[in-house]
Amino acid sequence: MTRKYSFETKTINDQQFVIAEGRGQSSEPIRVRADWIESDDMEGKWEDLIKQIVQPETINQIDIANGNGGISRQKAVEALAGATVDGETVVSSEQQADVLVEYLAKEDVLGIERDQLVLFRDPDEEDLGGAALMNWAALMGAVIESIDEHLERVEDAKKRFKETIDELETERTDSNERLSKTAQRLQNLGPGQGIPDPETLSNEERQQFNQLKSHYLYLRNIEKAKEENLFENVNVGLDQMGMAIDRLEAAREAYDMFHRNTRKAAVQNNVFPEEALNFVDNAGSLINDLAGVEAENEEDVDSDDLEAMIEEDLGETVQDQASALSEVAETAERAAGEENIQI
Amino acid sequence: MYATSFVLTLDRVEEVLDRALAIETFRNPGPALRIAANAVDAVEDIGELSSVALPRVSPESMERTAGDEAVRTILADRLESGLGSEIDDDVLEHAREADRVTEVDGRVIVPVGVEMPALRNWWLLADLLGSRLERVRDGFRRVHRRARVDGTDLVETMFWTVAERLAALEDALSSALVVGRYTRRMSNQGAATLLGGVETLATAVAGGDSA
Repeated sequence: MTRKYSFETKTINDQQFVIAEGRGQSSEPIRVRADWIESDDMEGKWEDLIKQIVQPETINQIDIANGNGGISRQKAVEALAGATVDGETVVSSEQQADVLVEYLAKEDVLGIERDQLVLFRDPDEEDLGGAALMNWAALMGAVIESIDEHLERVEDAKKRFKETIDELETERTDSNERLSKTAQRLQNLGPGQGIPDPETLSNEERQQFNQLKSHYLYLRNIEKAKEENLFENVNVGLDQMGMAIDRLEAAREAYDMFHRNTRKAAVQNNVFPEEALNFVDNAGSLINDLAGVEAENEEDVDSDDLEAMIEEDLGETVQDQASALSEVAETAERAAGEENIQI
Repeated sequence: MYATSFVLTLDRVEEVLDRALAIETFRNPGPALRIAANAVDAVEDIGELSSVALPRVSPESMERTAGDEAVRTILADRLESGLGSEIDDDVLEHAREADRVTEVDGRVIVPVGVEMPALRNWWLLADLLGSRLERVRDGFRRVHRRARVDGTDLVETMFWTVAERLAALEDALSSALVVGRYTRRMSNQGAATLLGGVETLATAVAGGDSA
């Protein structure tokens, strides 16, 4: 690794600092707090620093293949420069963050390969120290947080989906009402209960009978089509969402356990927990999937359709559409009431 | 199938409606029955046209697609002002570029059907049909109210079924659209990717390898 700085540690007013001098540069020395690393606390304050680099927001910047990986130095510097830990600003500039990153490398918390920071190393290939284990734990923590965010979004979508189903149910009530009103009219043609035998009806009544019969069959077919093609579709979607949530929750629980065990192993300087090796093997595709969900949000639209899109999203949302539906239902109810009064 | 069929059929429904609204008294059943029978036929045709694509709700056909705005403009103009309405050059160019319209002998026709992109055209049309259907349904409800006063039972029944049928059709279209839009929103929220991602997660949790 080519170092950009040379370091000197100093204690000023009982606080540890590291003074970095840019190599071959005539710039001013840069001073950053060093107690992030030089802590007696075994859990190490650098855990907090790594957590700032490995956030759900930066997860899509992390690149892992075959159990090894990290993030670009620049991205890490950007993440650190804006970060606070327990309300305290970590560093006050990107320049300081860059020094801190290199100091973390000097202390073997991470590695630097060209413009990349190596945060994760394959525990199958080498015995990892506490710092390397803690980095993995930080990644697990970020993945859990990211899953939580997705869960929240899916739960939200499920809730709204459920609302649509309820609206459709209201409309289904209207349809049933329409069917039963038609059936009632058919019954009213005869002398008593039940549908009359058309043979017993007068010529005009028989024509009414035929008209109502074909109307009834028509309504019934529409209902059938809606049941088979719409409601089933919706229910499948809802089931899928339910399954997605269940599975995400199960996964989250497992990662929670991995996270606890890996962190404990890091603190106690133990070996990488056997059960969490699955995480290492799948970390790359896992991160891709979690990041991929974000990317999916972007729609490919030409500017022509943008206005329509905005109108649909903001002007006439699905909720509006649904409330329009219930308005139709209300009108239908009113009409039914009116008609009942007439009869 | 082309959007033209819908426009022509709806025009026919409205023309029958106008005749029905012009009936001064329903006491004389002959003319009223003939108009009612015409209305039933015309409404049946609209239903038949709609039934072709109605069950085809797919996230793909609910996706906003290039040329949507152009097609919507063409369809709205034609539904409002008839087939002779002028198409703006820019609008037509957009629709052409997106391969959403067909041109025969210098006439622009909008295909609607069960395959993309004609299916997408259909859902845009379905959305627009709603308000037009609502208008004629209200009209026939007015006719029915008047027929109830002095019409025969048969005439009253006929106009009642016409209005009811239009309402059922309207509901069916709006149900399909609501469901379709949700299907699209779901897929936009990454539901499909999420499901794929969940597979990987689940495999990992079960102790298997990722693909």
